[in-house]
Amino acid sequence: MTYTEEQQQLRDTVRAFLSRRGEDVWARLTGELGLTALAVDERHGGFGATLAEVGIALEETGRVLLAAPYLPTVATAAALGDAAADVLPGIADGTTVATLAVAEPGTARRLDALTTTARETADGWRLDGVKEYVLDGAGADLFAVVADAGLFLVRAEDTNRTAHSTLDQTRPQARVAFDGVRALRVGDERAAARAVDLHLLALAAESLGVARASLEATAAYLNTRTQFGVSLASFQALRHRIADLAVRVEAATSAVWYALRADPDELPVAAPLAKVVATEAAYAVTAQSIQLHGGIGFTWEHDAHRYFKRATTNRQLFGDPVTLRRLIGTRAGI
Amino acid sequence: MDHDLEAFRAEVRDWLADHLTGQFAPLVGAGGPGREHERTDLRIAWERELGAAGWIGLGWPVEVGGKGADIARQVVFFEEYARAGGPGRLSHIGEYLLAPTLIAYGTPEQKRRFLPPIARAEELWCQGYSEPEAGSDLASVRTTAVREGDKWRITGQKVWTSLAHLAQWCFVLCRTDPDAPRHRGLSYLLVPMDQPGIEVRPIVQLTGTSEFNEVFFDGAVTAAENIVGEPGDGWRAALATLGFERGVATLGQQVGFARELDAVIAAARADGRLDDPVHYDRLVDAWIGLRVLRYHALRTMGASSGATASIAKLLWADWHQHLGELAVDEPGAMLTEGEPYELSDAQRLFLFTRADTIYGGSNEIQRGIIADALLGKVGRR
Repeated sequence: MTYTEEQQQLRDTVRAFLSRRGEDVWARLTGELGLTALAVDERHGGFGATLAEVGIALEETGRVLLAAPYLPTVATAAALGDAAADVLPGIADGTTVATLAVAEPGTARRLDALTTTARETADGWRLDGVKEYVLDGAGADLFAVVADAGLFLVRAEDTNRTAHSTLDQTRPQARVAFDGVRALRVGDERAAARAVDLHLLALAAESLGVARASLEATAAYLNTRTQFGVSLASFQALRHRIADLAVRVEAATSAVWYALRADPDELPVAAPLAKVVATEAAYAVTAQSIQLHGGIGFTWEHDAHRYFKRATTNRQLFGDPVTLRRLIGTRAGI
Repeated sequence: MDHDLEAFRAEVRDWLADHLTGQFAPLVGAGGPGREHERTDLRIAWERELGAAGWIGLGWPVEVGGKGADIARQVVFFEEYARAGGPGRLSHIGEYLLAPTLIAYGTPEQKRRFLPPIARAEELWCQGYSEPEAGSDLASVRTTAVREGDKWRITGQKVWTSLAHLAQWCFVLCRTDPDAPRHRGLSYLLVPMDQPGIEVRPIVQLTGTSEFNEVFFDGAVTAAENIVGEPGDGWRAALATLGFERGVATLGQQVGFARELDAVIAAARADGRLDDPVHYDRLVDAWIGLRVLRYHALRTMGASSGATASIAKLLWADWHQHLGELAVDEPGAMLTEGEPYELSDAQRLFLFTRADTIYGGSNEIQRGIIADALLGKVGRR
């Protein structure tokens, strides 16, 4: 079986909620639905679900291009353990928005060239460095930071933040400077690497939702639109093109499905692999969606460009496909 | 972990280690796509060895003489078989194409008559579907069968018939009612190959070797009861057979793919191409693609919709063909070993994989099936 009955129910519930989301989306998403609590252990106020459930929620939020800091918060929660016991209850109940800071200016393609340093002092750890492309960084309450000595937590009020405007207007980014700030060490280098892998996996699951929603919208449009007196869906040139897109979405579904269920020691390969396959699929589908919609797909009014922009951005975040293929090759011993 | 399954895996592995030795040792790695011409006599003996040990018909129900093994066990058998370098199968057309069709649509007498010799590998089968004028458009077959007393008399030509030169029997899609609408005038007949009315001619492929044949029926006969389903009902059985064809043995096939990929990467490492970042990127992409094939097979195992099978076919056929292109992406691969036209493994992979996107339903046919599922059957040309 691909999904359990409970997982299918979770999907239905989240989809129903997101289809008629009104005011206070974040509060209800975390409160009523408890979607960030999925990734938090029961000892820290969460539900202690598996990554498979988190992935379902991310796929659904991707389908609607949710403009809320769900992905960085839930993926950060999944990366934190007992050492972060003080902050996890706040993440679980939605009062704390968390995000992971990895990339630095000029290192988007060199994940191994990070320069943020942590030093231990008499009254705890201090962090120095500048992080880039931090998702929802301007609005976050808490940063998990990848530094030379592992994974650290930093309170937002201790940082200097510069909000960016973004091509994908549904998800803001920020530059965040850490100037000798107080930090709590919550994991070693392996924990830091796992935090990055979990974000790759989260972006993969979300991108799968982006791709599938875009594919469905495109199929519906081909069945609705008439030209030359017949449905667009009757043209073989278009039928074969959308069939190829469907194949890519199915392949991405399988890559994400596997990575969400992989053993922890498989994650270093399975997560970037899922991210490459799912973001490439989402990019291909959303780009073709504009083409297959014709003129209406090029308008501001239509949603096609919003899916295209989210897919394009997801493809670049935390390593583009070329960077990640090099990483996968290294990890696979090629 | 499923301990029963692991015990079964050990049983398969041990049996293969014990039996793929001695007289059968030369068969390791022999046969299969692109090498179907190799060591056929010994491979027939090997099939009987497999049959005697009960490995043929593993997934058939117990009532018809099978082992009733679940999908997980069948997958394990294929994986271990491939891992041991088991030779390309010869009884698979009977075991995986005809037998499931008979189990679904055959009479009790047909099951009793035909299934046991398949399981013992005493009778090999071939598939008489495609014709010169009926390739992707299978329903336009022109080979006719006319009822004469207690016999069917068959006239026409089939093409791309794998293993016709070795098979004792052929399942043949024939037109039995020329006046009926084209899908309704077809029947599914079981025809013995050893008779004067049948001639088999090998087709020399672009590889220089022959795996496929033309089969000419010139008044060939078979007994009246050798029809699967009713006269005029052959299309349904033929489509069922195609469904089995596309679903079979995927995970075992991937063990062979992994071996080919390893060889391509090793060759690139040996001649320095791995240091070229562009070539490296392509090879890692191929490595990722094989992983995706595996994950996809695990996720969709047991699913039976037509589009699922078509998606899997497109994924592996395109992947395999691209691997063939990577295998010969260097000037040395353009040279052969002289006369006759002897191909290296890389060249054979490159050339034979051009067939992957054609046989078993071409990529274009598969895309049509996927589009039907996604958009409905609108227009469809």
